[in-house]
Amino acid sequence: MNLKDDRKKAATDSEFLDNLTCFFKSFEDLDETALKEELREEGINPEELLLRTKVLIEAKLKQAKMSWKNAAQEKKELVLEQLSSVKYEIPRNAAELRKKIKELLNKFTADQLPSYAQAFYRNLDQITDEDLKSFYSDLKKLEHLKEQLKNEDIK
Amino acid sequence: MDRKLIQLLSEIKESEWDKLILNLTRYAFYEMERKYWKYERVPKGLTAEDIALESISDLLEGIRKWDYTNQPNLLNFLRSAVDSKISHLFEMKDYKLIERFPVTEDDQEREELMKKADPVSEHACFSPADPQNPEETLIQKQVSERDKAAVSALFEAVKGDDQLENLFMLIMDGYMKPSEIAEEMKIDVKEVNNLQKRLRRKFKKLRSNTKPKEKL
Repeated sequence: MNLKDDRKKAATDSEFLDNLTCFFKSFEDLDETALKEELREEGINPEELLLRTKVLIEAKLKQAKMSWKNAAQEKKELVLEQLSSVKYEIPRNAAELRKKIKELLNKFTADQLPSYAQAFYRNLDQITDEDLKSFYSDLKKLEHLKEQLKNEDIK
Repeated sequence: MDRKLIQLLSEIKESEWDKLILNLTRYAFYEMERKYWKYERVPKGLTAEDIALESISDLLEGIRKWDYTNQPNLLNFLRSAVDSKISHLFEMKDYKLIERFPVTEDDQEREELMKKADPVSEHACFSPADPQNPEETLIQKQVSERDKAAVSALFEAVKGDDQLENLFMLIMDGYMKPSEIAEEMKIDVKEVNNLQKRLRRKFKKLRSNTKPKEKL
């Protein structure tokens, strides 16, 4: 496409003044000193303007960071609270427990969660019953978290 | 504001912010000047600096969302915010009419509608472009007459200055970028900047003789 075709030729005096305003607003190769000088000519104090902006930016960014931190902390607390209330039954039988763990690991690897793949190949027979229970609890909590994240994505 | 945006804005150096605000204020100034000329009224107490700072404030408060992935140029984003603010200030003459309705603290729905609605087509009693609106027709006529007088005075002011006359012809033809003008005039961009400065001074002189008195 020829760029020149996009130019807005001024057909009226008003359009000419619109074009002139666009020309005034355009700048290329104007350094800070030239910009300040131009603003001063138009009755704007650039130093005062920059000071006002600096104060505003510092305050607003600080506020935004605080809001984000607070929101993140609230979310963390909510997740921890939800995790502590996750209900699940731990099979008493060790063989059943191993079977359930393998099922969960299969589910995670099927969902392409590679961090669980390593755990999948762990020899569950060498883990004590207590560790199996703890491992199962962690997996159930992860399953819950994964569901939560999926639901949030849907929303 | 999301974490990535906060980080992105925090990483902008002070010198970059400085240049950005100077550019943005300059931009707001000329846009407002054009509107003053057009409408012969100025929004009470608001300056180009205020508009530029408000636009930055809206960004930092998350009121106006910056799509930094698809529109990475922050200055361009802020310029569009300035355009929108200035248009809102000068062109929403019907705004006060809407405000006559009682506003309650929990009138959230109305507030949301106000934010979404097109200020011209959905709020105005008459569209400014509506030729059936006699008041608008009169205003348009007055604007055209003022613009005509301004252009005549400007042409008179540059008469005899070959470079400025050439520049005027190029602007008339739709050339507005200094680099394009420099190419057409076979001069350096810095020279175009100097021509711009000379032209601004002539325009300013003209403005000072016909400065609008009425305030909104």
